[in-house]
Amino acid sequence: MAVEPSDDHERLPCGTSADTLLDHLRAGTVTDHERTCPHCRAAAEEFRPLLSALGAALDDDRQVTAPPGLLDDVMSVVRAEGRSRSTIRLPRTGGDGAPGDTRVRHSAVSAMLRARVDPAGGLLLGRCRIEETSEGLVVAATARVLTGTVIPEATASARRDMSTFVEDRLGLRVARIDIDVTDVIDLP
Amino acid sequence: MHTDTALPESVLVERAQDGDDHAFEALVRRHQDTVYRIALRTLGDAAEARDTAQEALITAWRRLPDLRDPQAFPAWLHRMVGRLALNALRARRPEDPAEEDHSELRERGAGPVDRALATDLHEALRAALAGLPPPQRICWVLREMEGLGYEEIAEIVDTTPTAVRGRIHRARTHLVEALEPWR
Repeated sequence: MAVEPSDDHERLPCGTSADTLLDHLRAGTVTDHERTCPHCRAAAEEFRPLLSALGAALDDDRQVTAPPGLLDDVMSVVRAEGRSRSTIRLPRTGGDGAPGDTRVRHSAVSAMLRARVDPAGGLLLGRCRIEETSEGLVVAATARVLTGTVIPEATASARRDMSTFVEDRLGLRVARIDIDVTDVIDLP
Repeated sequence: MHTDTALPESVLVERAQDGDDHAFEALVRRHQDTVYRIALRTLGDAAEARDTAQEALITAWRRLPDLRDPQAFPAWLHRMVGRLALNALRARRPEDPAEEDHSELRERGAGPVDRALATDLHEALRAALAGLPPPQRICWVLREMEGLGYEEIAEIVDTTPTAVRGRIHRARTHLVEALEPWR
């Protein structure tokens, strides 16, 4: 938490800040001074109903949940809007059939690429951006590694899985796959 | 995709930033209760709180690419709903410039009859909160009920941390007085 401003609107005659006293009362960490000082004790007595009410309100709050349907309403707007409408055009294979282009949205390609990287390999992909260049597809991903993962092995394996996918399933060339490891994590 | 709910939050945030709506859905599932609660506490009205929560979550999706630190997602989202709730409060009484931090008390949504009916402390607190000027109410709610720091609150309500501290102090003084009969 950020450093709080030092000017205090509310100091008791003994110099204790009302904020601090309240925090201690709430956390059950009252100091010896606060326990014995008449000013602190009087203030604590004054705050008692508010603290009880706050406790009751927080207890009730825990029962408050978002109304049913909120998630669906939000997600239907989100899905209708999508994020990026950019697409990549897949090369045509074979000469049969009616003419026509096949385009896949970047967000769909990113999702498929992420899904190719099995977390069991110790790497979790976050951001995964793609760009088409004359040399082929450039993938820029961020990743978290699970504790104990050998990073060069995990990233090499992820690159392999993603390249195979791009080449075999999309029929595109891969120019490069950059993986930026941003953190080491433990899975819950 | 089915494992999204088990992924660390920062991974979900980055995926959602890339346009992965499944990842965003997992984030909404995690945070919708808190978002709704902040709106409800601030506005005191379930229908308005639902609208505000929905607007906050959709705005979050739209602005997500601008979020630089994925770890900051919850605080960023709370700021968003806090700000929208405050705007909704202000819009409710256009004749009353809610920016003005009047310290006199107003009866709002909880008249004397409601007070008389307030049979327990929580009800009394609710009534007392409803009587606070909106800027004081939102500062107090964000501080005491959502545990935000002065700096964060200042950003939401567009003022200085010192002003936030002053509002919380005035709100607390009012609430302590309003709850005096329970001492």
